[in-house]
Amino acid sequence: MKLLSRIEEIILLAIWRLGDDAYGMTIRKAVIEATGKNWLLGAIYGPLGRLLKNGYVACEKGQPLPERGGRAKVYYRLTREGKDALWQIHRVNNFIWKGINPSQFES
Amino acid sequence: MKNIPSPPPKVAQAILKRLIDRDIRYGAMGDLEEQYYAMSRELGPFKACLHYWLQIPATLPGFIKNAFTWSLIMFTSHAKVFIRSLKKHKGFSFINFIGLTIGISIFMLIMLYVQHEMGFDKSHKNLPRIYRIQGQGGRQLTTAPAVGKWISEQIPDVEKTVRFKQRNDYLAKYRPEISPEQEHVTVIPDFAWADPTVFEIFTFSFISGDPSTALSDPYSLVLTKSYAERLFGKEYPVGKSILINNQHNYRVTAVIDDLRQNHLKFDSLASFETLGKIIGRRELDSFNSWNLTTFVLLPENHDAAAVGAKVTNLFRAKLKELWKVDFSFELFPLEKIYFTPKIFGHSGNLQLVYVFIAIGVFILLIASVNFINLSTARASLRAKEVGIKKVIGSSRKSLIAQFLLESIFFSVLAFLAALGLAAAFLPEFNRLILRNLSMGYFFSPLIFFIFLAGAVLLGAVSGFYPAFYLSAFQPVAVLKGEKQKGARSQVFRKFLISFQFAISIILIIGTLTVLKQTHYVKNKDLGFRKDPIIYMEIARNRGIRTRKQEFKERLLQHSHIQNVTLSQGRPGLVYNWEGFELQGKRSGYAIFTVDPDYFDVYNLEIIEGRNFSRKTAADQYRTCLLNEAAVKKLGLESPVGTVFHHDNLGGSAFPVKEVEVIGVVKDFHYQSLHHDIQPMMFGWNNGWTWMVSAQISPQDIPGTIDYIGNVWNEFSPDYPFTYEFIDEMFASQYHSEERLGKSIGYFAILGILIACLGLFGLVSFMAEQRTKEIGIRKVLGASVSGIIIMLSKEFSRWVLLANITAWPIAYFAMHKWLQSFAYRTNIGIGTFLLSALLAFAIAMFTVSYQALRAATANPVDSLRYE
Repeated sequence: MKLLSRIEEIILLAIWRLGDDAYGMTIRKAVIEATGKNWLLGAIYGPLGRLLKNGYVACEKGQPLPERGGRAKVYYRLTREGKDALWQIHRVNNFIWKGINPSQFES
Repeated sequence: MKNIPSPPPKVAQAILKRLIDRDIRYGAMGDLEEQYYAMSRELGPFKACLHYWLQIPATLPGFIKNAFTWSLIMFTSHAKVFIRSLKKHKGFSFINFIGLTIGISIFMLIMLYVQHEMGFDKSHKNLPRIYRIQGQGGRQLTTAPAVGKWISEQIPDVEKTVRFKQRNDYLAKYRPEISPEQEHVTVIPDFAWADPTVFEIFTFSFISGDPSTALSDPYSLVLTKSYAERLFGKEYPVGKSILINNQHNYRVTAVIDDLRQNHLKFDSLASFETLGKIIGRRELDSFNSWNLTTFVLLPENHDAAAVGAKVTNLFRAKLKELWKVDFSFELFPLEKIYFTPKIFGHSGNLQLVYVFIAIGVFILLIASVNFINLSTARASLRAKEVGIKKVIGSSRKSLIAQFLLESIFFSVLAFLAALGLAAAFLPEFNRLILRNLSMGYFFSPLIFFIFLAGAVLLGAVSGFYPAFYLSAFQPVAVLKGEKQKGARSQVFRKFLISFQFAISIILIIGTLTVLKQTHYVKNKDLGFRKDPIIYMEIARNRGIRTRKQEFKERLLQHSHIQNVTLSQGRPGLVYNWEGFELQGKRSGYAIFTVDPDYFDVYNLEIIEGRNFSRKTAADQYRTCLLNEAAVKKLGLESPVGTVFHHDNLGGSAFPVKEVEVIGVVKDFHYQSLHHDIQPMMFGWNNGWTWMVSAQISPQDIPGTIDYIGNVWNEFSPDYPFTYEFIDEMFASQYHSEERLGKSIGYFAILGILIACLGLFGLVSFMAEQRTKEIGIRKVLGASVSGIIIMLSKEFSRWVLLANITAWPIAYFAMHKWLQSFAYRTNIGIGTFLLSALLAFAIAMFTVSYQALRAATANPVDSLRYE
């Protein structure tokens, strides 16, 4: 399995946390919160599309809404593969950070 | 909602739609619109709109990454299928590839040669404005020194004039100041003099020295780089002094880059003023010796014909007085000079260039046709692949792209391989054509791009048919195994095959004819003894020239040297023409100055009258012998006793007013067989002989040559001993023809090879396609020979057609070529039959191998899958 990229990891975790409310707008907000950078909505869709293609997330439609031009909201949720990928990146992160004490950053 | 905000901008929306991946487009467009309305409420429609537009660049990185990933995936899939299909038909693919590679590499080599030949003299900046002064119709290529002088003084239309005089084999000595005992001695093969204007008219690149003053003073000398290195080694040449021919000291004033692709040929260039010092200023302004070349530079907008007429007018009176004839001049453009025959400098063979271009195009055609043929044949095997792809959902567009890309890839690969192959065979090719070409030409971006574009085009053309034909298949029909109609394409393929064979046959006939003619001219009885005779030039060798009778006697002392003669030039080259009057009529003759032993050495038969006699002192200067052609031209009944008159006593081999004919010599071919035997006259003048010919016994030739060399060194220790055999010299007159024959021969072999590769591939393909048919035929009782005949019958028809088309073309081409010889063999039906037989045999051999394999296969193997 290929390792997730950082932005993919952030998006996947955001979707997981958001639970039933994970759609474009909320995902973007979560990403902005996590990174502290202003992500444009359009920039989310590249990685999101890849996650969908790789089967890490699945989507389902809600009710059509007038403020979306009559379109339904598309909600994303994690799949088994997505969770596996996150678990893997988690292990890698743990491993590479092992033994690094936060106090060591203060010099 | 009271006021509904305006929807997001349509254009931006459309763009975003394209940029966002299809799978998440729906949700994304909804999100974006929701965000837009939200912003429009909070910050106003303008900011919302701007923000909406800003989404476009934000989606770009994702778009690019995705697009790239997907095309890469498709590409790997295509590549996989491509490699698999190559592997499945290994032999077939190999034949296809190797044929194209050979074809392209031959074309490349030929283009190298052609561009080299066509590039001669093109580096001169003033090229279109430079002309050579010559006699009308190229009858007199050289001019007298006064001609250039008069033109530059009296014709204002001419911007600049240069006189250029060339001589061979000058001896150069250099004594370094540091170590005077170490003298450097070399021979300068081409020594020339020129006016200082030479650097204003022609373009030479200076390494050191100043072009404007380099040739101003007498005894100044400009060297080429490689010659300067030979004489001076690592020393700086400018300012050094060189002793030329043990007589005059020259000072080196400049060094120029070696001449490349330049018809002018010199290793060193001395100032023209020097000649004035050596032979006298009066001689330099005279019309006595017509032995140098005059070039003029005309202004931008000029009329060369008009200037030529002015030159003619300028000299009319003077030449009428001198020669008693009306002589007219013309201006011959430098652009064309390289491809005209000349006495000095490099000269190219335009005919050979054209023949090479034709062969190159032919071979490339054969190879391309092969490639198209085999690719098409191979593609039809892939109908099933196309069917399945279509069923799975491949669009026609992507199928076309796939097939086109495959064949383009293939041909570009062949192009790159051809570059390597051409580089590998370049040294061999250089030996064949006596040039020193390099591959550098192909690495100039433009040429590389043109060739690459050609390869892409070829790939596209050969992929065109499968791409559009196969992609149009109905998948159902293909997968059901229904036969696709391919009859038309088969006829087309066979037509292409016979086209290839026609070209090959033309090349075979060409080779055979050239070989036949070369054999003919080399073995024709020229009417004089050719071997073993050694000849040596002594024109510039003062040591021997001043004591030539003594030298001759010393040679005769050796028991293996049978006879020695002193003459003006070697047979085959005439240096001197003179005009004589006979019965009030004036005509010109080629004059050979010889001594009485000449006829014995060369074994020329005197059929009437007598030879010059040493006993009769009056024979020298006053008598002559004619050849039969001269007698015939003059219509003399009894030539012996006839008296010629002339009054040009200076610079003549006969310094008397009356010359009596004492004998007639049987005709012999003193020039190459390109020419008829011209009228000629022999005179005896010991002062006019600069060539020693020694007839030697065939035994111990090296010993005899050693002896001659020793005597030579005794007479002139400085001057290196050089000699040549007459028969070699004569054979060298046909080098150009031999080269032509060899090159066409090689190319014919390669052309046939490529054509056969194609035939082989096609036959194996057809046999494969008809495996079942052959199996059924055998089961039903067909014999092996019957099946072989069935398979080869068709091809023999097409090879026959190829022969019929090739014959007339070959006949006309070879007939035209033979016209360049005054003495020629006939083309003969034998050549045609032989080439037809050859082509036929090769084709049948190729076909029968595959046919035999198909015919002897066990029908059980071919039928059991059904």
